[in-house]
Amino acid sequence: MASGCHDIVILKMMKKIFLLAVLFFIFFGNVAYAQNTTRAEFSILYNAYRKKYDEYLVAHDEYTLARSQYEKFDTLTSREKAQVETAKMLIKRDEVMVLYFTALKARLDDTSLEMDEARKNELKSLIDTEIQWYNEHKSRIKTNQTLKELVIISNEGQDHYYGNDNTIYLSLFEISRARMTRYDNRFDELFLRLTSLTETIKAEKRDEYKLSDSKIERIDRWIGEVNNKEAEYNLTMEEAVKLTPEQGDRNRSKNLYNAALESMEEALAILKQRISFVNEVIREIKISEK
Amino acid sequence: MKLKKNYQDIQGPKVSADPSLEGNPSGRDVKKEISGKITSRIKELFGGKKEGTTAGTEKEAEGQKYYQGQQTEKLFDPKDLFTNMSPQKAIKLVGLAIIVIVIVGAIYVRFIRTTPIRNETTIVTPPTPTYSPYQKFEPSIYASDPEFKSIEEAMNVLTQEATTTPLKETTLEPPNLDYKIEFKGIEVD
Repeated sequence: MASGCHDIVILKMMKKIFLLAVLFFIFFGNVAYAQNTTRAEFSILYNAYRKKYDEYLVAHDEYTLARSQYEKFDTLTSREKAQVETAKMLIKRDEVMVLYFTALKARLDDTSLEMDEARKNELKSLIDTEIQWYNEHKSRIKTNQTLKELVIISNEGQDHYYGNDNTIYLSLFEISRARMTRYDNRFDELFLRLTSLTETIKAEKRDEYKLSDSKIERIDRWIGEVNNKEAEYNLTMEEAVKLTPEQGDRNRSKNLYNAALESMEEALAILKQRISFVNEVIREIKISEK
Repeated sequence: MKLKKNYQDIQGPKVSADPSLEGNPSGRDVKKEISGKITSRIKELFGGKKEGTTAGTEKEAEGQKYYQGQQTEKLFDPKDLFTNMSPQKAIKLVGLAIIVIVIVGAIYVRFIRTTPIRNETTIVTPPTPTYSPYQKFEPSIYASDPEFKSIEEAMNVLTQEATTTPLKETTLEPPNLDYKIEFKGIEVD
């Protein structure tokens, strides 16, 4: 009788342990997966894009050879070969663009970036449009088309690329901007905590916790220096935002992107200086006056 | 100078070269004869007797084998340079020799020898990094405060990230694709 009761208790305990273990794996397993999913997904897509680009390069070499043979011999065989190789190369070219945009879209989801959700969705929508266009364009390329038809199709791709490269540069600009936003927000949060701590220190009445007036005055002055740099930082970031890539003449978007990145680099340098100033304040508080 | 004589001249005639001695069964007599000749010759020399510069007169008489007119006296001996030299002159000469050696050595090192000759393999040791001396400081009461430590740690992580992560998304620069597709003789409007 006693052993029967004992078995029941053990069974109940095992049941509880099992339930706890299941809950533990469900909860923490999901968290761990959620943390790595964006980076892992991006990595897979990026590798697929690079692989396709390598395939394109091979196809392009084949096309170049076939074209030179056609132009040299002008035979039916060389023309046929040139048609086939050109079509293959154009298909690879479109596939590269599709995979490139897919990787770019995955990058927008990176958790290390702080991007406005509406902006992110807007960019994703633009990227989807591009993917759709390149897929549709690819489907129109056939190996039995004449060289003239293939040249026309290729020119369509060229016109579309230079007419819509704003999507690319806008996305790249927003990724860099989102990285800056994340740095800035983290800094602001830490700086706020530090200033709050220094206020507590200043209000301290206990002798062993009190700092000398000269030290408090120095810390205040240094915190003021950090604050002064904020205006400069904001101004530089505003200048960068003014240069947000927009569609225009050929290469306009690219040039605007490069100029905006230069401004952002300047802003980052200011932020780094603010961080180093704060580190000095931390060190000052850390060192005893004795 | 006069004392300088050919060794062969002092020693007398070569035994083996004398055909008259060949076939002499008594080796002892030959030795005695040679030693006697040497002794008499030494006596002659140190006794101030005049000596000739060429073989021919007495030598021939003693049965020595020299060619007519053969030079038996050394014409030059380096020892002659120092024979009648005064000590001051000798010191000067040594000093001069040392100066010459030093000058020649200096010229060799400066102009001729360009790289040191080393037989052993050269071991290149990497430069030892110089560490800035650790500044000792006494931590304040806030150094161990959890909130303060948390801020410091987070700030260090941010510093690291902002310094190492590139702002520009270089891996996602648009691919370099060939959009200029054309063929000779094919024109598109």
